[in-house]
Amino acid sequence: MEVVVIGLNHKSAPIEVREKLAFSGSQLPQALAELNRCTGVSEAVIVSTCNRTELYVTSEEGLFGNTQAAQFLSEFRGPPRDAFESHLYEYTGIDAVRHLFRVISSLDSMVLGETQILSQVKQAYMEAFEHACTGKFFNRLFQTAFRVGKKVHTASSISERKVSVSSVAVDFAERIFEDFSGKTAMVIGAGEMSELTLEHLREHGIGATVVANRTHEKAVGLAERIGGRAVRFDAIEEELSRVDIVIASSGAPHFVIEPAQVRRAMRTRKGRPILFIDIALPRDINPDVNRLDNVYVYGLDDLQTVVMRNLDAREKEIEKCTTLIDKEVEEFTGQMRLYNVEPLITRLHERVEQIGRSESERAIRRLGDLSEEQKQEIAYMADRLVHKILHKPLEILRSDAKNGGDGRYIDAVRHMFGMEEDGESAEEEEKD
Amino acid sequence: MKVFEVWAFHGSAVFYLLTAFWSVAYFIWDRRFRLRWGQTFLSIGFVLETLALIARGLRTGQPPIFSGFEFLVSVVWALVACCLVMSILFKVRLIIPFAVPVIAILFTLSVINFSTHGADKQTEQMELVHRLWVGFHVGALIMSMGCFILSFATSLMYILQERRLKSSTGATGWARRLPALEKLDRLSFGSIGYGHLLLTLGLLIPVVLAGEEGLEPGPGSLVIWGLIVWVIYGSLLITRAKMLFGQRRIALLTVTGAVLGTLAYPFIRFLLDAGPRIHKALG
Repeated sequence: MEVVVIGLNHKSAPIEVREKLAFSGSQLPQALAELNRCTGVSEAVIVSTCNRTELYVTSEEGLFGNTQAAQFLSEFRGPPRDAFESHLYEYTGIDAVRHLFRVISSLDSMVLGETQILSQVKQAYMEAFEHACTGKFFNRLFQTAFRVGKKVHTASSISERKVSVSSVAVDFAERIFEDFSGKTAMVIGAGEMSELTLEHLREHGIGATVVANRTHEKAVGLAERIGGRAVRFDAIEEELSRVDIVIASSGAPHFVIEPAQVRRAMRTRKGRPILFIDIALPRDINPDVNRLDNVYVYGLDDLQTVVMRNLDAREKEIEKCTTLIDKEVEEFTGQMRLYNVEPLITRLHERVEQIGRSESERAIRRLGDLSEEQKQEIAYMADRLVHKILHKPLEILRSDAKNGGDGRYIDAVRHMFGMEEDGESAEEEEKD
Repeated sequence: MKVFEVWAFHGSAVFYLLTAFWSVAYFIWDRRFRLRWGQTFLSIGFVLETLALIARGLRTGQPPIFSGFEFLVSVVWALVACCLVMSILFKVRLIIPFAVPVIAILFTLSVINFSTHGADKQTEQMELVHRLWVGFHVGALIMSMGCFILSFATSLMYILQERRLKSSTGATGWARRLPALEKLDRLSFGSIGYGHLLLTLGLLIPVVLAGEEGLEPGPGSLVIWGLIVWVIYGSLLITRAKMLFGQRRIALLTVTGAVLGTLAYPFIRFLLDAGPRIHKALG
């Protein structure tokens, strides 16, 4: 039995390929059932996000590989195999475990350190679990993976800093204002980026929004869409005394806001701070505005510098996260090997104990008239003998399994105690 | 009881020192020294100091606020209490590394005071200290000092945060954990407000009650200093309440006010002690 991951992601396949192989939520139950019916597959989880489609299965060694996965994806999603087969990657055994841990820790994500992947994989696992497509191994593997994902995020600062222009803008706003609920944001121009920033602010609970645009009708349209208020372009200065955050992306060829206007507004504001986010090219806000007290201006360059610096900081954390993941992979594989050898240990124990018990009973019968105490002492002696004889061999078996030994001790024990058939039947039981 | 009291004072000193070392390490190494550790060290030190002060109060039969040593350790206690409230209730854990230098200075002064004059030195006016109003008077003054020191620390944080935001490059290291400007301004305003109220009470109590008992509070150095501090923080309070300046200038004024208030005391002492002698010498 081995764990196999076959899939494609943003690094191995372009979006045109990825979108053809993505599974929607409603398709997953049927896809899982079909994948589980593939030859040799005993457990299956399908992770499908906008950046990756991955099939996680446990199967008999060599029975499920690239060919079978491509066949399944082609049959289920439609595109011919040769359209995507070359983009598929495959990991087995310890590499598959490492890959899952890397994915869940977002080291394999398009935006390094994003936390959404953790909930996406969790959702994929729950779907498989609810449809009885996971067994003991996957339950253990995915639970460990979730723990590892959380640990990586808390032990490192990989997900700490914002890495998109709009989120960095909101981050600046959060450093100035304690609470957005009583605050008003004004958008100058109806560009896509300003709308995105506004969306971020709305997610953080901004109280009210005002839209100003050269074409007033456009401002009215956007205001209606976002539930804000539209104002005429020439009313911007008047609004400056009321609003707290200004997102500018008007596309005007000259500055829309000059220091004198802000200075006048600040008198009415009584020193309350105001934040300008200038994402227009050419700029809308005269940079000298930043010289005024309690006025903060951030341009596209400032925001992008922070984004780059934050990305660099996240990348610096990769080594730390990889070390942590490698340690966890080693721990997990050790535990799994131990977990696999435990049934053999139990059976060996039972067998030798049985011999001890029957031999002590025979001795008691042959010795004839013995008191209860003497009988018990003989039985205890046999027990002690069994434990003492087995102590060292079992310790070696466990440590060999945990440290990834070549399995010769396991084979030797099976051979010496005539447990080859037992082993096979136990593996059968596991499968059931 | 005395053994326990000494043990608890020493224990609290150890934990305050630990907080001080942690603060330095935090500013240098940032994440590796989590803010929660500082809060835990400070909390343990605070519990031990509280126990020590209770033990001392029970042993001497009077609130532990009258001798120089007691006054200083009580100011430390009030400051730590304010820090913990701000750190736990308002989630501004960064206040701890900011306030710890003040705590360390005050605690060192207490230790010096302890070794110079002895912790058990009784106050000269024993009859007076047993009166309840005297306890309230000194207690209110101690609490007001704690609030003012806290307003100084939050204003300092405001200035740092503001400078970093103006630089347009965003914050790095520990500065990323500085609270929002608005929150710092609110906390500073609140500390000044409560501090001024407590100071007013602390100054009014002896004026009203001592007068009733026929005692005359003389214009000693502490009284003059108290009045100067009252004027400084009263002006700051009005300035902030009416927003006569922007938040940044108010933060700068608060820091300046705290420095002036602190320097005013030795200056008054100098004027009262040396002034007459100088006048006499000048003829």
